[in-house]
Amino acid sequence: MPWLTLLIALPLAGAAVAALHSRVLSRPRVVALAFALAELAAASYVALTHAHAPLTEQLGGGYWRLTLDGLALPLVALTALLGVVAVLASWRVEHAPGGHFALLLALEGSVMAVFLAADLLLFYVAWEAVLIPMYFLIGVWGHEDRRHAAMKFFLYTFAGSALMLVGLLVTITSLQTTAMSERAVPATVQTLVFWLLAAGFLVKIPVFPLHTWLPDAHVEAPTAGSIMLAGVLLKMGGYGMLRVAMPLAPAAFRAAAPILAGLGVVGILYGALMALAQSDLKRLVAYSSVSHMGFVVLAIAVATPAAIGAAMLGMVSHGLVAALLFLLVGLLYERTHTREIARFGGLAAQLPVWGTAFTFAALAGLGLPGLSGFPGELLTVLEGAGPYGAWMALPAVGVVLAAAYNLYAVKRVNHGELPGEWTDLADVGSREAAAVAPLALGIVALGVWPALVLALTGPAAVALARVLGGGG
Amino acid sequence: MTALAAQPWLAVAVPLAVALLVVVAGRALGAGVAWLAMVAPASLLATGIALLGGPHSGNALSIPWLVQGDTSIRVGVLGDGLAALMLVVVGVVALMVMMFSIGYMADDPGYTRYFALLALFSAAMAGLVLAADLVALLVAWELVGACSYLLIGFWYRKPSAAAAAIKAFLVTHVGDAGMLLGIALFFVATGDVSLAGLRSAPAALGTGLTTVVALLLLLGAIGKSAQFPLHFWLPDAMEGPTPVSALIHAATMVAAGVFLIARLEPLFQASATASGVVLAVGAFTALMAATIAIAQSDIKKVLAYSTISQLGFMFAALGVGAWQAAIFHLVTHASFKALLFLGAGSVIHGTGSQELSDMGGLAKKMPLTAVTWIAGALALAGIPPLAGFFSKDVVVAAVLRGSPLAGLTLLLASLLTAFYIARATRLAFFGTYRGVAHPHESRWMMTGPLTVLAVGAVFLGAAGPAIERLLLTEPEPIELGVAVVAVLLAVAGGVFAWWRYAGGPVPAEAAPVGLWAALKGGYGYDGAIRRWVVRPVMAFAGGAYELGDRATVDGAAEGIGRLARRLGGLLALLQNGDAQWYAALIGAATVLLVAAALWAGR
Repeated sequence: MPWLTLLIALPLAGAAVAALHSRVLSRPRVVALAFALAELAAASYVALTHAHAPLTEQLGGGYWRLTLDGLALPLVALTALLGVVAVLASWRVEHAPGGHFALLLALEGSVMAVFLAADLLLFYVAWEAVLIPMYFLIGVWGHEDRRHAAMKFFLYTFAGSALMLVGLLVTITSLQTTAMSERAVPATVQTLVFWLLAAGFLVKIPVFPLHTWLPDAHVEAPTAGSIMLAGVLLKMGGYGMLRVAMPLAPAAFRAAAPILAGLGVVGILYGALMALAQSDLKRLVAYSSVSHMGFVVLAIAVATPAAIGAAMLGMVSHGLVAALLFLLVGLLYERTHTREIARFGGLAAQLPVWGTAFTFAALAGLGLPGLSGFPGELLTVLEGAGPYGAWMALPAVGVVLAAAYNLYAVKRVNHGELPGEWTDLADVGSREAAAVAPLALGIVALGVWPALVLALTGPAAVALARVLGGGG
Repeated sequence: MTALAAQPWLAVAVPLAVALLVVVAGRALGAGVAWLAMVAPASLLATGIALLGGPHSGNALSIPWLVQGDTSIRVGVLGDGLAALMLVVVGVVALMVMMFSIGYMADDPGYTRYFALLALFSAAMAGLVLAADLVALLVAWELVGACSYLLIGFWYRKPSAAAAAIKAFLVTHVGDAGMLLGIALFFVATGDVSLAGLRSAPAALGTGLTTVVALLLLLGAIGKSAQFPLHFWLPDAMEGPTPVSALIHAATMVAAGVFLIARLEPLFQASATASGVVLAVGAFTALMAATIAIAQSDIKKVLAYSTISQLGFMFAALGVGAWQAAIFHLVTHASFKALLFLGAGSVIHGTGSQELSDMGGLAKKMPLTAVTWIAGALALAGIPPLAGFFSKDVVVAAVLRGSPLAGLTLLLASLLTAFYIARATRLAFFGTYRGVAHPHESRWMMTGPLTVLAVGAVFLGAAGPAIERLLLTEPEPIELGVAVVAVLLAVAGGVFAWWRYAGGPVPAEAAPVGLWAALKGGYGYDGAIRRWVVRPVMAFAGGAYELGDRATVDGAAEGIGRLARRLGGLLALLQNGDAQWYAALIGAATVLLVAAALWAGR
């Protein structure tokens, strides 16, 4: 059974069925849910059966090379889970639901291809393919200023990936193959290749000052779009650094590490400060993503095996936490049609389940031990203190700022008196709870037992660190 | 019992399971949920007692938690004498507080949430005292902080409670960030995070790094134990239900900083700078908070500043290396301060007010509350033969030996201590009732715990030698000279207050001016923090967002976009519809790209 091909084909097939289905029947969302659940089942099966040995596949002798190792597996599982959550989150989409669900599944399939690709050309094609459904999800199903935000998202990331393409072409011509391997490009072109590739990845993560597409895209995106964008699309950037840029240009990476660490730390502090200044709840969550991904960039820069593990932990954790926060903000928007923090207050009393989940998500966001954010951030700081010593005081300040913006949000949304206009809001229903619950459980599970991710990433992280240490 | 002594991790696991059960079964059990929740502190108490009697070695448990490459960070528990003592203290106080709360919180709609959080707190506190390494400690440390946050903000509809909760979390989190950095620096230097390793670290670290690590960990202790300059969250924390104040913000969590430094005494004593800072912070805080306590009109605020001050006594003892004395005072303080807080809760329950000006004459209406309160007050003032006298005597004597100046500071603070607690006692329980409610004695569910704690406040002094032996030091005899001076000062302070407040509240204090206003307002520290820290950070964030992020960074990106569109207009001139022209362009572009790729890949 070509499991990896199936993981890509299943959502794409679902997209086709959902698109066609909507012309015949009126329930594309049921089709989408069925395919998303099937994908989750397939991903879980592969994860359980192939957790300890990389799985590779090649079809047709061409560019269709796939691999599933410890770096890909956690993100594949995350993507499959968020695929289901995103479908549940967009259950009530009324405008052209067939198209919406088809694009959502197409997005999921393309992201899977990015994480599974073992061929540079396939990687590039999948990378660009992700843009298209996301562009339309924002541009068609988004909020007021959706067209501008969609175009901005597209142009920003397209500019980044154009540079990445040049980097890939240089790599392919110098290595004479499109297959990904542990072989590095010649020393003469490493710096060029590294920064061209990094341009694409750093925009996607995103890193200051290349981040301003992110808040706009999130604010305008429909809930499912935000969940996928924050949950998995940003991870493509971090994954690309680990999977493509590091092994192809290890020496250039080593030289660039202090710059990357600086970008990470700036991202942590800058994102947190920006989050502190927001009056729009969704924009606040968007900037918190910049801060959290800053920790991931810092961990990548440190690049010891444990730091690579920390980066993976950070990415999976942020995928769960940001998805939960965007889901909750989306549920609130469906009820109130506003994201203006100042108009909320006292919601914990009116919406006990929603309020509890929001406080929970905020505590996860500030890195409370026992929840998923803590182990990754702790490990990042512990490993980072090796090369950067007292500089780790800066991410520590970021941890305090994270507490500030998360808890201020809880205070202004959940606490205090309930404004009169919200006295008839309904709490989270069972379909919505079904979307919230797996995220919350995942956040607790990963926080209590980070080995869920670290046991998978171990061998790959050690191998990658060895490549970095081995020169070339 | 022997099973518990061998498996102390059960003191964490059982309360955790209880907390989950309370959440799951809360609605079904109704008011009975409190009895289920009480299993949590009972398991702490049982484990503590088992450890007191049993062997203290061979019960360590350590599991790998973060493993990747050569890095292996383990978390574990270790039940020694200090942990056993702390478990008993936390277990007893938490049991009494939960029992008291059955009455105090009876009509609250958040009853289940309240007891679930108290059970969770018990688990986290057990983890804190049993932690065998810095990572387990940090996890538990932050979780007790989160419980504190959720319980201070328990009545979250009240804006002042929500604000106090966030303040407590953020201020202590500043300390936690320091701790995180200290742990990281220690980890990098030694590859170890165990407390045992840290105790023996000075040899490996060298003086400079030892001082840095100790001071960073001290920052965490200062935040948690509300010492200057991070003391200002604790008075606000009184917004939480009063039993919570008794448990978390008087007896247990706020003492965690003292516990931490006691655990790491060799590290601190290896650095003269670090131990000097501990001493200075403790002595200064003890006096400063005592001066503020004398001017408070809210009975809980008196007790809050008193707690800050008493924790300062303990820090001062830690600073001179007398950590067993500090722990002894921690134990007696837990008993008499929890008693005073629960007594205040009983009074608040009876009168519906926290203002001393609304009280008076309660001794007749609430006799049992009054008697137990007075026992607590005498213990706090250090009057023999009550518990506080013995523990304060060893603290003051040790500090006097180490630093006469700091010792005299503590003696002055003792004088003020007697003054403020006598003032509160006189205003609340004597004279004539000035309030509008009809105060009545609380039910036995509330007075029972008061009685138990009062027994501790009266008799725990006798446990001093046993405690010091448990902590592996030889008990010290009472220093008669110090004792006499301290008692004389306390009596003087108490008598003066008794005389001054004989006629009820002093009218001038209602509209304070000058020094009294400064004392009542905590020297304006809160306002200064707001003006010089909170507002600048928020203003900076807002300005950086508007000017930096939107106008500059995003403006540049959007500007490039507009520029590109205009250039696009120019480029459109190239589109003249001539197919040969297009073919030529495509050819030229291909040649250029291929040439670039070949050049780069050569």
